[in-house]
Amino acid sequence: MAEPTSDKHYETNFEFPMWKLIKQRAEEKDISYLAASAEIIPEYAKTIRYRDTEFEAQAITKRAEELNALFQKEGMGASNIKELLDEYTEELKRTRYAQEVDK
Amino acid sequence: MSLAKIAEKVTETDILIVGGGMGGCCLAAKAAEHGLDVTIVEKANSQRSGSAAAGLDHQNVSHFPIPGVSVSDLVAKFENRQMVIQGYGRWEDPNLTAIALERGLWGTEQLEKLGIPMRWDNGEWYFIPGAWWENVRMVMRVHWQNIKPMLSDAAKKKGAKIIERTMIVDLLTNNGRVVGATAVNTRTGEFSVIKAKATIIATGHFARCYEPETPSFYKYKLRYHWCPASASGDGWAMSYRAGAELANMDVNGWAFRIRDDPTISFGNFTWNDGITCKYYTWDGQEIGYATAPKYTELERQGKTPLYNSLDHLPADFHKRIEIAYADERLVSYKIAEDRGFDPKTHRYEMMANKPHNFAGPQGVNIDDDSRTITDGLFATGKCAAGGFGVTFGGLWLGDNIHKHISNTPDPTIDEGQVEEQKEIAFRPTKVKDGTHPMELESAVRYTCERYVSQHKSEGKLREGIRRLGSLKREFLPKLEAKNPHYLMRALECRNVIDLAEVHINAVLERKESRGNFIRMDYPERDKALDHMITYQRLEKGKPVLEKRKAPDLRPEFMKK
Repeated sequence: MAEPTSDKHYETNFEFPMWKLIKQRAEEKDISYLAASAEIIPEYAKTIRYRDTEFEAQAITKRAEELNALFQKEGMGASNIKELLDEYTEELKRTRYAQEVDK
Repeated sequence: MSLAKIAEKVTETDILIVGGGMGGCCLAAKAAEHGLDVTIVEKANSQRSGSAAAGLDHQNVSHFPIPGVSVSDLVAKFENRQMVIQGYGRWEDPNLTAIALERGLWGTEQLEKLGIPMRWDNGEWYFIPGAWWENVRMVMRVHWQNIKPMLSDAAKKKGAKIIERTMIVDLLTNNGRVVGATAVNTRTGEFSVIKAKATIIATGHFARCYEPETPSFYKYKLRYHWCPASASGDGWAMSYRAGAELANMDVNGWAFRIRDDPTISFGNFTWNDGITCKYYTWDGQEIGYATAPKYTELERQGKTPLYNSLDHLPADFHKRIEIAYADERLVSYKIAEDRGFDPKTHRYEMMANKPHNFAGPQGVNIDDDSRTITDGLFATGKCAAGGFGVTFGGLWLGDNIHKHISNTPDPTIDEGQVEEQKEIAFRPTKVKDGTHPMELESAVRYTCERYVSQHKSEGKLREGIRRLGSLKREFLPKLEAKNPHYLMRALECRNVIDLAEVHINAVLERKESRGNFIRMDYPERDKALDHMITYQRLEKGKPVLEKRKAPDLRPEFMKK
């Protein structure tokens, strides 16, 4: 990858695969990109592993673990989000959840 | 003078809805089902107007019962989400959130009855995995490229009337009750009066007193989602002038500014179907996330700009992003390709983490029935402070509004007030060599960026208020409109200035630092302000500011 602050970083020529299909369909049928995309999106969606929950879970968990490790290392930095959320949970236990019924 | 002589057109309706976006159209369709006479007034064209003009790829919704999850658990998650930006505390009425969460399935069914496609080719809904809460699927992936024309048509099919290209000047009141509004057509300049038994504000959130996310300082906001061009806060400003209360105007919506705007939305960039993006400092160090205080620290260390990366996503997830691009904003492809930005390989500059809108818990304060404190005036969608959400809020109020107007007398209009509003609307046509509305709006944005924004202090805020006052006194009366379109821009500018003033006054009164709200002169959180919401209203023309504790969740929502 080129250095992000360099011009070279933004000189890549590329096309999104689905956009290419949309353009082709629009030209073939002489219809708008919008109309072509309405035809292409459902076709393209079929090539995506939306219903492969095992694959999804694996990919998501991998990133979640990486992020957790990073947060541990950083100690949440200056943001203290985790500490805030924990403090709020404790307050809810003392106040809101103390009213809970039909547990 | 009689009304017929002042206005070129007088419309009478049961329900006036100001704003024909997602919330307004949902509301209109449901209210019309109850046999009400419903009129939407939309300043653009409802076929492609509002925050969802270019499309939408997701819909936040809960379908209870969710195994192992209670409504109160979910409410707490929503509150946690607000706290990441706003800091510790409760920022909105959790009971509104609970009502919407409990009835999420009803909302989905209503949308489907209106003909809005939500199910995929296997006949099921698809929920995005892990989106903001692991194991609880709350965000539905939808292909709503054409949601706006679909909703606009659905509202018309149910019998609602839509007056397009018409800007509301102000609300009309009589003995403290809102009885309709005056309006000007942005193409013909026709001045009209709409008399209504109930008026509902559905104009979305407010954004235009800050720079857009992309640095087009001199232009109307281009980004469609968080800072759409429409977000001049018209509904908030007119409600405030009519006596309604605004909430949380001291705190902002925050996000990274995204250079050149090739992305679909920050939300998708962040979640990518459950896989968070990576953030890097300019010299390649990965960081978890940067809240405003953390960003400030990184800046002090010389680590900015930050860059966003998706190079860790599996190929299948990159394809999902392509779909999302097309669903929310087809033109994003071209912008990204023109910039040479390939999300598979490129890191993208995330400009300063700064306030840029008021799309969080801010807005017109409402109760469980979406009523404001002003009789006859309701608010829904992003226009309302917190809680119901856009589509659900519209559908819910639309389904119930008939109960609130059954005993309402026919509205009586004060002709003098109509004349005053007509004078305000058309004053810019009489000005020669005056100020272009965008010149003034840019000056307001500059004032908020320079004197409020990230690092606030009493001196800067006082100077900001002084400058804003000067702009209001000296330049607002000099706005020039060469055609009816610019009459709308001048009216928007008036709304932007009024709300910027409300905003800075509220910031001055929050003497602490909390979440992304940083007062350099009050660097610590003041625990006495935990859960305290700032409310502002006009009483006999004078601004009133109160801090009141946000209500807690009522026991009825505490059942497991």
